Amino acid sequence: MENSFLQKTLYRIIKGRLRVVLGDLVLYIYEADSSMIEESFEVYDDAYSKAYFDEVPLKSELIEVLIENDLWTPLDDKQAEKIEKDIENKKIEAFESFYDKKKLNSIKKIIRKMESDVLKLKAKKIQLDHTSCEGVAEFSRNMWLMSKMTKFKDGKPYNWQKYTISSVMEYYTSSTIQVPTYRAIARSEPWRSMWNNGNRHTGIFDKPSQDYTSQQNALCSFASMYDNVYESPDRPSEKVIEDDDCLDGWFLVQKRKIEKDKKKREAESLIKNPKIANSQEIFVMANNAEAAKNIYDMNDPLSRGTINRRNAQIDNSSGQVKFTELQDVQQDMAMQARQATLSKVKGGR
Amino acid sequence: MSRNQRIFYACQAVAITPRGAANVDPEHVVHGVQSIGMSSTFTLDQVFEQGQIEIYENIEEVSDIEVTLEKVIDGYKLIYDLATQGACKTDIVAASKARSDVYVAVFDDGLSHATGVPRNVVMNSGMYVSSVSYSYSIDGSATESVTLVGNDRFWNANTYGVIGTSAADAWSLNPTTNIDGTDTPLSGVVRRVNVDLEGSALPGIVKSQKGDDETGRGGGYHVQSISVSTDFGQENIQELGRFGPYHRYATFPIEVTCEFEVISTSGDLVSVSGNAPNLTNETIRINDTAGTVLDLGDKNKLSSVSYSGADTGGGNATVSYSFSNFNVLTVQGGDTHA
Repeated sequence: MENSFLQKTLYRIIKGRLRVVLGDLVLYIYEADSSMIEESFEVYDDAYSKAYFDEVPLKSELIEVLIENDLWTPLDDKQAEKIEKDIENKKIEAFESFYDKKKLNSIKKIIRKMESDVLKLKAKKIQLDHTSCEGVAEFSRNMWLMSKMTKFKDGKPYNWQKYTISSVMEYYTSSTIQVPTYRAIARSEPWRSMWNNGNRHTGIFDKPSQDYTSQQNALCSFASMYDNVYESPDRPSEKVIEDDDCLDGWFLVQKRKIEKDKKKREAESLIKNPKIANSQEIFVMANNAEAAKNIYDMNDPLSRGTINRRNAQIDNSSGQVKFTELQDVQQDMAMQARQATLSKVKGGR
Repeated sequence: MSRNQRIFYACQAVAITPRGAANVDPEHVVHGVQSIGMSSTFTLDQVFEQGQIEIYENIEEVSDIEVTLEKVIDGYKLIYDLATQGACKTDIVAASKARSDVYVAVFDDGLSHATGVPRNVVMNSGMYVSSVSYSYSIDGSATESVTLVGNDRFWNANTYGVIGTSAADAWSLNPTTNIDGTDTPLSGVVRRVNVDLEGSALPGIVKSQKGDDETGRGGGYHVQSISVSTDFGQENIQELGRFGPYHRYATFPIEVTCEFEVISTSGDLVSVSGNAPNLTNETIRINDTAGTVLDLGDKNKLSSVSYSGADTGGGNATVSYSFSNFNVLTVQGGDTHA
């Protein structure tokens, strides 16, 4: 991302406005302040009531329409969830393959494709939202906000003689700051110096945090996120920090590590008897399905895999498997035999 | 050599039957189980020969398996009772010889209760009791912990020894029908208030830290915890012409220990003289309201005393009195099981 673009965007965020040049006309779209946002909900309520009495359907009622017309099914949501999970795994893969540039590029392409698939699946559910009471009301609110947010250079409200609200809104929407841009600004200069030298949430934008624009809030959140990364004892390299996919992968690795440790601690607190705690197979009593799931979740992936393999082996057997015939036990025994052989050979020297 | 991997299973029922019982019946199901641990140890013996670097033969020795169960004391049959088919009520020698089969049923994580066909049943066959311990403390439930040892474990089935049916078949009568979400402790789970020290027989020294207030069953003895334990040290006996052991034996004499922790009001009150014997035989019998009676006989002697606490951090002074005897421990309780 170009440094000039990042700086331009940063100062747009700081000033809380978007400069719009339309021929010889210069307009500013100011970010809505809290009183404006508060008032906008009155517009929303009025528009909602009007739409409701005009028998415009509710958003919840549109679900049936979507399903009846094969525009969306609950399976689409499940599919989106699955892809999101897959994206997480791919990001971990990206983090782990950071130094294999060829592999990393191919993973990134897959991630982009998956993200686009998720967006398409999610868009299916909201494709008729604009025809609902909520959609109509939200549109009215946004139009009202845009009419109030757009001003001449001298600060006077624009009179909408030459350009319509829709055309300015379209420009504003197309100029929405994307997450990668926020992240790039948050981790680079001059923002980092401003952030570090300022009094964080109270002093950065010279106003209390409740008066921050949504963009300013987003930037502060990303800045805090990078603070956490820089302060982490397991901090990744600068190059990884600069790569959003790899850094997301690092976050996920850390998150899973924390979850695993938490589960381990939970398991240890659950079993006070040291003999049982040090056993190879621990059977914890479960009194409902959720408890059983939580117990199974205490296993690390290796143990979980062992359980699945054992179950498969037992299912495929004629109903009788001696403990020593279990594949994982045989593997352990083979490993022990190798180690014992090695130590015996080495010991004999 | 033991294995290192640790696996957690969601367990909804455990049962202990006499060795070779064809079916697991409701009376074999252990109630109030908190957790179970199972471990195995494999022994491999490498034989090499002169002139060859490769192994000549890697010989597998008999493997040892171990199961440790812990339950709260709740009026239902005790693990020790089930594992020894009641022999624990009479004497320790008979209890050390008793053998049982321990079934652990593993259920799918989709089920709500223990009823129905289990996903898998693990059967530990021909198990001997290896160690037993009981613990009463002021800040938790009274627990019983029993470790059993043996040499045979099967998953989901068994045709070993005298058992004619598979583990799954043995379980097929749905023995856990009572564990359906309405199962409650018969006597209530034993907590500190249920320990009947006034009805127990305690060494005089344990009762010596007495205060003025005798409210409850504690006799005002300020006892904080009691633990009773013994280890049978079961050893294999082998014979020529047979892979597995033909018997296991307890390494008598077996020491039975009992430890009392008491808040001290006036030191440990133990006098020691170099001119004459200091100790006398003490009777120890511990009762609780669930019907449990831990009888350690009348030949217990004080083996150690330790005084601790009363530090600058504000901790209370406590005295731990350890008593021991040999070969005497009978355990009654859980007879109220329907």
